[in-house]
Amino acid sequence: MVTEAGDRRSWLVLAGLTALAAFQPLGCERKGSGDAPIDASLSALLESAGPNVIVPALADAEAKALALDEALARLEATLTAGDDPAADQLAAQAAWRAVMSSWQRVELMQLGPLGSSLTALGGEDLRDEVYSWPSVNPCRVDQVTADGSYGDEAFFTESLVNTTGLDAVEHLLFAAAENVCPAQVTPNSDGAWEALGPDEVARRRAAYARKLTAGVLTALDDAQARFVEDGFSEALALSGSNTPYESEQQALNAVYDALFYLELRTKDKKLATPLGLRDCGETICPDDVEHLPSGFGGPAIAANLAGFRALYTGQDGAGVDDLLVELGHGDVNDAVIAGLDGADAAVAALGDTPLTELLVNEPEKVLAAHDAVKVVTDLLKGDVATLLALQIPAEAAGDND
Amino acid sequence: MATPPLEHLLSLLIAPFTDAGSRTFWPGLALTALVAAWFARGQPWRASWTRLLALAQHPSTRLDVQLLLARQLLRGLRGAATVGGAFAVAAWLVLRLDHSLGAPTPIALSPALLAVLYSLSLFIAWDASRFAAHWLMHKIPLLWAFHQVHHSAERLSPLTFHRVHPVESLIYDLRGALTTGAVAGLFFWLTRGQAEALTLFGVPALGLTLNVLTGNLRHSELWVRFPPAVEAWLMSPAQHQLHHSAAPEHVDKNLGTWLACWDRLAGSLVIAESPPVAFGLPAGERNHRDDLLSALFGPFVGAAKALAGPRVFAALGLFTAQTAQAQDPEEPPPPPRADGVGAEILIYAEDGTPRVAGSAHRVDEETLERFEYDNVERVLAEVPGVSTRGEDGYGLRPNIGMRGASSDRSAKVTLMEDGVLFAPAPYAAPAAYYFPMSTRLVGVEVFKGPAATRFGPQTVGGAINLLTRPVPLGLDYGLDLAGGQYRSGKAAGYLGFGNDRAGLLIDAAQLSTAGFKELDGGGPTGFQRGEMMVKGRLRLGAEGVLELKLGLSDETSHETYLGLSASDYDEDPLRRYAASANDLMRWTRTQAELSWSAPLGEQVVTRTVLYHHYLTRSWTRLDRFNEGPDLHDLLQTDPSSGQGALYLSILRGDEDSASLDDALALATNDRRFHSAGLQSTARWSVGGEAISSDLELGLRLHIDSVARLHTQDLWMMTDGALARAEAPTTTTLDSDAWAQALAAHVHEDLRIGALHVLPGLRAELIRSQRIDVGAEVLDPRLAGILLPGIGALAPLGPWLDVFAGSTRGFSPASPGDPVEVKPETAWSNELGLRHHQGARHAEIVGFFNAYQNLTGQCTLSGGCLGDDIDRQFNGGAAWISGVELVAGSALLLPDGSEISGQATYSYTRARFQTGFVSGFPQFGDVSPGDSLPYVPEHQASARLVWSHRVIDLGLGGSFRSGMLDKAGTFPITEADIPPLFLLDASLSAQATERLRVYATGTNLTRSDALVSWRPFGARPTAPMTIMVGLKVGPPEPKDEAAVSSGAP
Repeated sequence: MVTEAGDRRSWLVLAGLTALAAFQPLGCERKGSGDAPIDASLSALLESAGPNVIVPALADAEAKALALDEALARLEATLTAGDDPAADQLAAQAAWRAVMSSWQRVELMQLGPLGSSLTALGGEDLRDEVYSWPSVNPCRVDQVTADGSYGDEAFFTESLVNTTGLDAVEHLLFAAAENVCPAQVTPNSDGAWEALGPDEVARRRAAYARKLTAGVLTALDDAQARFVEDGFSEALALSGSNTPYESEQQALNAVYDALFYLELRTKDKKLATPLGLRDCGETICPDDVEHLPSGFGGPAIAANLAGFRALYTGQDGAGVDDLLVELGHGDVNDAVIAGLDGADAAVAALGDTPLTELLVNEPEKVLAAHDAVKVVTDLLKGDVATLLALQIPAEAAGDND
Repeated sequence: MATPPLEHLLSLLIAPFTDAGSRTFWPGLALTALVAAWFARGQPWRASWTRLLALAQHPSTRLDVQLLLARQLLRGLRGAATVGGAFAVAAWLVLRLDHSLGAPTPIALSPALLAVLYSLSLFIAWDASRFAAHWLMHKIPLLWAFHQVHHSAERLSPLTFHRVHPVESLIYDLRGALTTGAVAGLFFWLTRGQAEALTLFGVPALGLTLNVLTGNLRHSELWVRFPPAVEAWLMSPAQHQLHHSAAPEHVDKNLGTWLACWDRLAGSLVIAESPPVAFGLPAGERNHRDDLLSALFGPFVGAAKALAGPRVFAALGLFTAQTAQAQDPEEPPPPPRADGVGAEILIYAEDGTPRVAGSAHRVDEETLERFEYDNVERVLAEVPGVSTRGEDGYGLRPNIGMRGASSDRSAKVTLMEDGVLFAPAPYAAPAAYYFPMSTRLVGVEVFKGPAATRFGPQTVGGAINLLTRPVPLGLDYGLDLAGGQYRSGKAAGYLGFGNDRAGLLIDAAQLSTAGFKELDGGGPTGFQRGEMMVKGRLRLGAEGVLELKLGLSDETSHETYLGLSASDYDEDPLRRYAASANDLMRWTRTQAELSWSAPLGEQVVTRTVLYHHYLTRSWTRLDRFNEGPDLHDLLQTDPSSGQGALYLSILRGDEDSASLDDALALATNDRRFHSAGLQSTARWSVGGEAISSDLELGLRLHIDSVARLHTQDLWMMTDGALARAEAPTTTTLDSDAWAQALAAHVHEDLRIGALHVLPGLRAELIRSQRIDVGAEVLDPRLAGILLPGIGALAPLGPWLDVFAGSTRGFSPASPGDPVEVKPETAWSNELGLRHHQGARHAEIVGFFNAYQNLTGQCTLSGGCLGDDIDRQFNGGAAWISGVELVAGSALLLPDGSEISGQATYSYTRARFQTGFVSGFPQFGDVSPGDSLPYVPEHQASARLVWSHRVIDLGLGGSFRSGMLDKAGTFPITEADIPPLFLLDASLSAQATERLRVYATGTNLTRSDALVSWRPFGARPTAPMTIMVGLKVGPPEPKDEAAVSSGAP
């Protein structure tokens, strides 16, 4: 039961199949990955971030905080003795500026234990223990000053971050003598503030600030211990035994999330919001600047940029810049570095003048700083994210500009 | 390194002879050659050579070679797809056994004995499964169409072993993987990997030995037989040659491979006495010629004939049968059936058996009344395969999922009341913000998988049809008053009267409660809900029935999306944070439906409904912090430090908002929904006892729309209470979406004898658009889809039916979805057995839904925010499979009392097949193999009722295993949903002829398990609630002949 035509067609089909089968494996052969150098660069970046960038930054902040503690001790002693505190007050304020200048670099390094327990893998909220802006509540600080609860042993365990940290110290050192609470709440409604009198308020503020500085020192110490003794530096590179990351890519994304502070906080919150570019309409909103009491907003942004550069370049070790170059995208890296240089210059132009004044008198300077930072963050959200297959944090997926 | 093409090709082609696992492994061939030489001894060399040449040149042998080559070449193309199949089966089995029974203590046997036991088990299982598959190949015409390629061989040579159609190869490969996997998995589990099979050259030694010794002689013309006593136990090569014999007496004999016991059991064993006269098949039976193309494609034609045979017969013979029947004065044609086109959809046989080729369940009025369930989630707990995600504890806006389909706002389920879609905008915004009160329902029908394809647009999971009270014949009335804990009250009543010409019914219900949650700082947490329905029925002409249904419903509820943090939940699950104090939902709905039911001639009945539903709602509720963490993440993480702890304190009212950053954003989401359409169904029934056909044609023209205006106000937490912040009201969404849909379906129920075959086809054509104010206006999106399906129902005995079905399911994309969002599509398959005998019934169904693209519907209740609301997210391929069981019975006791009960169980395995990162919060970062969120693996329910004269006592329990809050892997963690067990009871007594008093208790075990982490935080199940009530009704049992709503 066979026909000649059918037989012929069958052999033709077999010949076709033979040709296909013979050459099919060539087409499907997996190309050599050639990923080895990139993997090496990524590992080097992750290994370097802790010891070369974050830990030195934390150590620097701790050294500055120790100086603040000493300055506050002197201020407290002067106030207790009833002497003129003006010089010591200025010295303490200068010491606070030095700590904050150092800390604003660490703000760009919120990963692992420094990060938020809500959003960062391995987050332990240690950053909030040091500085919790924008979660600040000066009225609560005044209330604690008035009720004296900062002296309680359990003060730190019972307190929320809005009454502790360098942000509360800022209010204690820089605020006017009056409290900022409305009349209908304590310490105004119960007359507690008035009963204390200006001298006692000043003494308590110094004592409270000293207590908080001790808390900051503990948090900074804890943070370094997490990275060094507890091995988070290794965990970031996935070489430790207890890492929160499933892959190097995920760890790289954590570094990226930390760098993203420049977009969400520096550009949007510290510059765009006071400029009135978002949220509060077309007018400027000077009350929304960071460091309202101290007028330290400009230098804080400069420090943010320095922190970004440190983590991005890896200081003396490997950084994101090396990874981009390794991938053959040196041009993108050059653009980021040029953008950072431009942003540094634009922010330096702000000088030490409080942003509140600049926003009224020279808004174009603040706008120029914003635009210069945006050059960097646009690259961060665009080319850098795409080339390194990074996931943009959900809260920033939509453009806030 | 790439393998050179020629080397690769050569290795492919010689594999059948060099692979020790192949029957034609070269030592076996060598031995066969020796046997052949022995047979040829003493004969001239030239004659033997001529015979061998004739065998080699025979068209039959040539086809053997062609099929062998084709198979090897195709394998080369597709790669080693089957490798690992057995391993996967084994791994799956070990995991399942470990999961269900735990790891056993390894059996203490010597490795050698274990090896022998394992090898023997493998051999026996392998041989038995080969026999079973082979037997099926011979007995099922569809399979025989492919297997006959092997049997059409007119000359036998060892190569004939490879003369197998690729379809048959695939079936045998699957069988091999399943068998080896099952045995290997079982032994691995028992011995924790200590058992190893005895192998030679890497393959099981026993099989290889038999293969080498006699395997190739089976397909040869060398007559080698064993003594009859041996052939009764072990198949000889000669016995297999008889299996290939063309003689009628040898047809379907000696189906076994090595052991003869299977044939002896099946009565198909033949002892080899004399060689067959000829091999092959009668020419008339062959579906192919001896060439490759014909042998590859001919069987498909044969298979189509095997399938189409009865259908063609039916198409041709139906009218003949009908005519013959009409001419028989003794047997008039049956009256047109009203069921299936009325408000009720489920079809029952006279004995109460559901006549549906698929999973269909009905919760009847008696059960609904027994426990006085006012929460539809409790009603559905006793339907296998249906899962719910609790939210408010009352089921005001239930989240119902089916067979793994997402439960968010029941958006993936087709929801109907009396056969008409009732979701606010079933196409444009299917989220069920309105759900009829279960208090006034008289039945709930649930259709899953293939049974649901007649109802769209959601055809993947299933459909639910709620039945309202019909207009009675005569007078009927009822009053139900109840009150209980948490100042809960119910007042429901109906009054209806009618005759053959006309009738009227008024049905109203009101529920209210102060709520079981306690708000920080005090305040209401309950709701008030009312619903009224008026139905009028008028008979026009001889047969036509016109029915008007008008409905009005409203609700005011202090409902919130805000739950609790884990630690606060542990302390007091019924607490509600101060931040939710202003939350309030209000809605009003109107409903108007005009239906016309009439026969067309004697064989066709039709029902046409014109409907319009309107819903306006406004929900003010805490949406988020103005600038702060996601509320779901905040409450689930429950931070005790950092900013998170501060935000939690603000929610509780313990800490004040300090600036607009930590102000609370309260959203007021106003939405107006219109849903209108015209749907018509015609059922044409013809046939008699031998054969009948019920052809249903349905058409629906539907339009719906949703207008959304979402605004936001900022509130400051101040001294534990909310105070309006100095910030303007902002509009967060101003959008209109609409959809127009044309849906049609044709569904045939062809009955031949007792066999029902149910092919069907559904078509949906949807045009939709979303216009957001201030955003670019995209063109309307047009989508069309054809959804074929087929089902079958066949009796296996007087009380046992088997049913199976396969259909393509679909869930449309939302208006305004980006083009990359694809509609949800899936193939749903099921196979079930249904037993029904008197009061006893049982059903077991296995299902497998293969999603090509599973989608997540973004709703606020599901945890989505902002612009994502009502949009969909691709979830890629997913496989959802499971088993559902129902069993029930009733027992009459000697004292006249009756005990009845029903138990159900569902197992669902829902896994993503691909990895992806999704913006849909419940999906997140998905890896292949991750389980779907909010789909429980195990669900069970049991209901027991004892009735004695005037007293009824009912007990009902339901269990649901843990669920994942987000796509991931089991076991569940603290961030997931723990198992839930609920026990309910009811007691009622007939006090007087017209008065019945009752008491119900829900959640009697006082379970405080959380039921959801969505939308924001831990949410409790409703606490134990005792209600007492009375019912007034007519003294006589209600008229069973009451006209079904809308039926002529």
